[in-house]
Amino acid sequence: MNAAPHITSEQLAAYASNEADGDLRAAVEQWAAADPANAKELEAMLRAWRWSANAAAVPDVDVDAAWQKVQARIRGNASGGRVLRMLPMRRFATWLAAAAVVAGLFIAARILLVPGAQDWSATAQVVHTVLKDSSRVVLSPHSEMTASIGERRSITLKGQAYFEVARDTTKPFTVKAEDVLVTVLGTGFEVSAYDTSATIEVKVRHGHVRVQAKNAELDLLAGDAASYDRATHRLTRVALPSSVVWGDRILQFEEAPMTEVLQRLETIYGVSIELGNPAIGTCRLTADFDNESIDRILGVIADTFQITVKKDQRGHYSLNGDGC
Amino acid sequence: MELALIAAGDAQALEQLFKAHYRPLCGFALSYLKDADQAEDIVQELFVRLWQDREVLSIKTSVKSYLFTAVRNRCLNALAVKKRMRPLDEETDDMVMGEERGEEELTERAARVQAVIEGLPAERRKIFRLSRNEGLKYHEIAERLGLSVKTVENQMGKALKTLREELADLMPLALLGWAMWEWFGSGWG
Repeated sequence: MNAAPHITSEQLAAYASNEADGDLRAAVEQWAAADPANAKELEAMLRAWRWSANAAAVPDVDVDAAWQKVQARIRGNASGGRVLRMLPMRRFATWLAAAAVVAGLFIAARILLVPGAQDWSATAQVVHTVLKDSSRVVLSPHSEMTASIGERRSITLKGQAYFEVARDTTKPFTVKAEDVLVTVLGTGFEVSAYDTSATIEVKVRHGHVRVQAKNAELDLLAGDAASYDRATHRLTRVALPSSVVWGDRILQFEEAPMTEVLQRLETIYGVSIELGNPAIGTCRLTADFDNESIDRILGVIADTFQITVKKDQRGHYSLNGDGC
Repeated sequence: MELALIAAGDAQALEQLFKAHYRPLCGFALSYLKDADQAEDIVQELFVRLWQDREVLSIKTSVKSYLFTAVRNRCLNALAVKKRMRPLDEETDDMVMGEERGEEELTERAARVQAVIEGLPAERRKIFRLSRNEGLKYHEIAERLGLSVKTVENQMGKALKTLREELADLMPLALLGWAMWEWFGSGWG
């Protein structure tokens, strides 16, 4: 019996999972009979197999999103990690800025519409609203939204909006923008579907969403984005840019060049910022700002790169120092 | 080592520790709580506390066993709170001590199994689940994931071996006795 062949854990797993054919079954049993140590090994593998019977149905755990939450809390972000963000698409950044200048309303235009109303629209302003289920929406300029909140939570969107969805796994939350259907499995994300754009974009700040368009489907996690091409009907995964503005006043920079950062700040806060030393423009900033004032943001930047900030009376700022 | 770095205020060390253990810890907590959101909350809360208390924390065991013990205690506390909040008529106070104990052991074991599975590399975990929990045949798994049957076999072998090794201390003593008998027996043979 010592001639019994060696049996690998692969073969034992096949045996346990009922994948072994007659020959392998016989070989495993012969192997176990040949030596009590083998029998013990087989027994232990079968036991491990039995024990794992009911280990089903663990929902997808999003480790990165969870880490972001923990990180927000240990950094002392006051609001318990409820972050609200949104991004005007790059190609629309200029257009949005222009609209803001014309309307003069981009800064802190907050309108809470009558509760119970089903339709929202934003003209030149950003509209902040809270839906019946406590989900929060930031509707970008020139956008319209219809919300039906009941057993199902269904949103129809034209234009762009950022959603912070109240968790309720029994009531699915979906956003429909033309061909694209986004199903929320987690929390904060943005849908950008301006009809002047060739694409429809979905970006996820945290949580987990599923995007469906025609026959394609993508699952997006925090930091992921997807783009749907209206002409080719193709849905593809794309990268988030290095600087993102979620909602109207929440800024996320990831290794973003200072020149880009300052441009963003000028647009959003309606200020002008000048570089005393062009070398500062090459510094790269990684930081999150959640509804901070421009003074505070520039203060943080100054501390980070050891530069100084001067502000004159007309809200004009200049940055001086060595740069990076 | 990791803890020394964390105590010194190294947030990256905390991140590494978090990313290495988060999934298994959530699986572990889920077995107790049966509520995925609550399981995640408890594990996150633990890491926040670990960071806040980093300077005063003294951990004598391994970090891993500290984390699992802490999560188990937090889960049991959460369950105790839940139980207290349950309407009285739902209480089943006729539960015999022994039964409760047996149940506790079963829960602990289920939690350990869950944690080991959650700790497997992503692809291996997926394959194992499809086989064990969804009852798919190897060739079906291979087709679904675009892999060869050989890869599935291989990954299943590794997964089951990990389970058996990580759960060795839960295997009945009879086996251990037998193992020792074997040891001495082979020494004489």
